[in-house]
Amino acid sequence: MGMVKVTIDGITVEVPENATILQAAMKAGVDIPYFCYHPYLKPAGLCRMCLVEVEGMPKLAPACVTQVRDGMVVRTNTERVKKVREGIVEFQLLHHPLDCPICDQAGECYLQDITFRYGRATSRFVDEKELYPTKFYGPLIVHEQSRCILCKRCVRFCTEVLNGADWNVYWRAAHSLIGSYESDKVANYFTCNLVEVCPVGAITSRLYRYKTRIWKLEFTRSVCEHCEMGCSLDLGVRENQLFKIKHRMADPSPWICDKGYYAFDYVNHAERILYPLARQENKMVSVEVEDAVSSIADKLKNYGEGEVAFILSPSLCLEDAAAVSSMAKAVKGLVDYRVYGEDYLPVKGNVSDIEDVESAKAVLVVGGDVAVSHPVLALSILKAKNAGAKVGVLSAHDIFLGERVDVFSLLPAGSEEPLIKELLDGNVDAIPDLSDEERSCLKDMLSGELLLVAGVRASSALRAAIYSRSKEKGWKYLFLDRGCNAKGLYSAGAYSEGVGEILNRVKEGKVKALVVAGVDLFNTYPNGSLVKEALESAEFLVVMDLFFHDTAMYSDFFLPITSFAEDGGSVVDLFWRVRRRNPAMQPKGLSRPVRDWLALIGEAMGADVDSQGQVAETGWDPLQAKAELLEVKGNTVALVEHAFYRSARYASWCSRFSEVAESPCAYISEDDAKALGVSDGDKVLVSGKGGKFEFVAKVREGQPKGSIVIDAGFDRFPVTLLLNGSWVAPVELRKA
Amino acid sequence: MVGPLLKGLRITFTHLFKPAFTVKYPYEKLDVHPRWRGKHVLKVDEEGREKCCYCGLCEAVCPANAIRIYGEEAPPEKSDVGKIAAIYEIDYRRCIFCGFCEEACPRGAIVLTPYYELAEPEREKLLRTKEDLLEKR
Ligand code: SF4
Ligand code: SF4
Ligand code: SF4
Ligand code: SF4
Ligand code: SF4
Ligand code: FES
Repeated sequence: MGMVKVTIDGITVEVPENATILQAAMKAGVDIPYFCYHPYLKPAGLCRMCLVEVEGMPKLAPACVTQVRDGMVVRTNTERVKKVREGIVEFQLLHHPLDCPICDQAGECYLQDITFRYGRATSRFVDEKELYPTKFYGPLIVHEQSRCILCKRCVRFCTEVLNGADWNVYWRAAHSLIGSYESDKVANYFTCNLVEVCPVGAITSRLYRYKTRIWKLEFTRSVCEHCEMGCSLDLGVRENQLFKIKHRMADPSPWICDKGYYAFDYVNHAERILYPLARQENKMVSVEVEDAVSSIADKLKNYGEGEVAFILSPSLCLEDAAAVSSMAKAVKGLVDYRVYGEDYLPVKGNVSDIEDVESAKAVLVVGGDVAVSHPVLALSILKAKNAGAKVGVLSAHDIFLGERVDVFSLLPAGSEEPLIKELLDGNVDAIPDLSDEERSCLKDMLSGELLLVAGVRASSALRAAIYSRSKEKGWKYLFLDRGCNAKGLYSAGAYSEGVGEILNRVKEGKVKALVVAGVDLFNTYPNGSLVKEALESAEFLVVMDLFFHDTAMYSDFFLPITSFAEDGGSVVDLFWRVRRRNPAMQPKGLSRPVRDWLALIGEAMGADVDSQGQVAETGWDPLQAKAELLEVKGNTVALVEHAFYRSARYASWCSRFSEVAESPCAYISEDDAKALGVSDGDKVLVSGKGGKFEFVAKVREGQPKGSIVIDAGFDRFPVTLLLNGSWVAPVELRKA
Repeated sequence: MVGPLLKGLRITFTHLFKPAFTVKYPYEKLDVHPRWRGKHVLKVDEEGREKCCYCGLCEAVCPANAIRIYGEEAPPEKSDVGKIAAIYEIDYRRCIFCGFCEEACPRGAIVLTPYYELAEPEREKLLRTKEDLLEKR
């Protein structure tokens, strides 16, 4: 691309020929105020705050939408520009409530800053201001309509990035108002970006509402812990409490998701256990650190080879994982992190970063709801689509991405994997419920350059199929894992034959002592009854976590650990990059990282615990997979999936975030609904192996007959009792 | 040599028979100026709603870092703007009674009063909370 020279206020800079004056001014270090310009949204030229004088142009030009010309001379410091800026600010403030003392944006508000620098001290407006009521859109965001300056950044985010969402401009001209057409609730997994893009205090977070002031917070850059995307987050802490999260660095993406932005307040939760506990006569009592450590060490010392096992959360950091692995080696025990019952390990994709996804020619997502497991990846896939890529989603459950792409089919839960296998073998007709157009599009995708994304549900056998087919055809592939650091745990060698195998051995009495770190197995392992039996038969159970959850109920010792905000560890993200977390606050109470507990216990046992983790050079080879493709038969087959608002870590202790999902839903087909005589919102009963559960029916178009999807992750709602080692199981569906 | 000594003694003796400047505090108290800067009060309006909306300006301006506030949402009967201070503390171990907080407040919510009897037998008690500071009606 050609470069051109532009002179702004006497400073000459060289910029690409398609740059705007505003971008050139940024390069020259000249400050041009703006409201509606956003570096990652298309220019709109709405607010007119950026007007500048261009030599040879009779009128002032908006810098954010005016392209540069070679030899262009721009002036921003003239009387004319000054006057116009004053005028624009005065206009913006005509009906602005100016309630900065109450407003949560105060201190980081564009309007405040620009008024202070470029505005007049007084307004000539004497009439009464026209003010509008405050609107609450669900538990996460609040819209103060009067404060809106109609820059449409939020609307542009919804149209350009989300490819359409229920958020737009109502009415027209002076009466324009921003909002949702249909609902009093906006829940599209990415609402936090509306808060972040709004330059004023019109859209703010309800979680942070009125709690403190932005200048009282100290921000530390860290990494999100809810998925493998590893979005960079800034944690705002005051007096050792985490109050707010901001997303200031576009790494890996300029956008984040609601999990990262809202699901953090468990860190300050009053129910957090901050002192070690020990079981004494069936009661948990608080004990000294030394006593806990020496008793645990004494116990563990007595077990022989293969009698101790460690189960860890896939979201622990690399150092913690390395410590657990080395401890497991010292006691000759077993260790595994695949708490969701996965039978696969991380495979290294041939996609090196997010730009590779965004520049793909065609993307096919199978075996998982990407928008739930890796939300920001879904946005990158949409970006690829907007750049001309063909995108397909073939999955048994999908809420966000499917309705925005070219090819979409909801597959029957029980035969999802065999169908995808057939498709990979070239049989496009195997996929049900596709229009002719979609079918030919899918054919095109398979015959050209393709990026295959394997979701978290895809079993090892399906991964093997995808892997071998991609190698053969020269496609790109990306394999997603659960948790935020599966790649790190794999690197640290924290795996053996699967968590299921460990639980079985505990049940059979072969493994006598169990250490569970950072996870509530009842919430994650897809076989609630096995977990229960195993925990009941374990001779000695140590739980390390933040909260006294269902798994901890069975523990003999409970050790409090630090949350991601208090600990500086590394995680390995989806693209195998090592990302460092920075501690934003002091550990609460006597909590400490898993590796520190293990170091203490190791010392007491005379074992050396090493917490140096190395990132593995190569991933797992899926062709070693021995299992068969997952296929479940039955009259009604249910897929159990964590609802988005329950899929964050410690979601039960995240107040506002988890409130968005009010009650567990069951997605059922129109045919089944008719046969049962239920309609949207009615109650249905799902019964299976280990119990009966009531759900709110959601009748979904395109849902195959005899296949349902039910929500997991709700408090005191152990749907994993229905399952038997995988997330799909035969059930019975009735009207409640 | 004795001269200056006698001169001094004379002054002392004449003052013995003049009325005293001091008062017998705490049995007697002096009137102070109405604009004396003593203990703070957090004002409420005619309807009993708290005026302070936690804008944080007093907290930010205080040169002695004596103020600590956290805010919360409030129902209309507690605040006309829907926001009040959940915690409002002034630490009289630190306060220097400069009055900047009063000057900064956009809502006339924090006011220094002529009340000056703040001494406490224990230092901790000098940390005054919102309950103690709020104007009673
Ligand atoms: S949006 Fe900005 S100018 Fe408006 S009230 Fe809030 S802080 Fe003040
Ligand atoms: S709500 Fe905020 S981002 Fe949206 S148009 Fe109004 S000021 Fe702009
Ligand atoms: S996409 Fe993943 S890493 Fe990024 S904010 Fe959301 S949950 Fe966190
Ligand atoms: S009087 Fe001065 S020192 Fe005391 S609280 Fe107010 S601002 Fe702070
Ligand atoms: S300046 Fe006034 S309104 Fe603001 S926090 Fe202090 S007392 Fe409250
Ligand atoms: S920033 Fe240029 S018109 Fe808004």
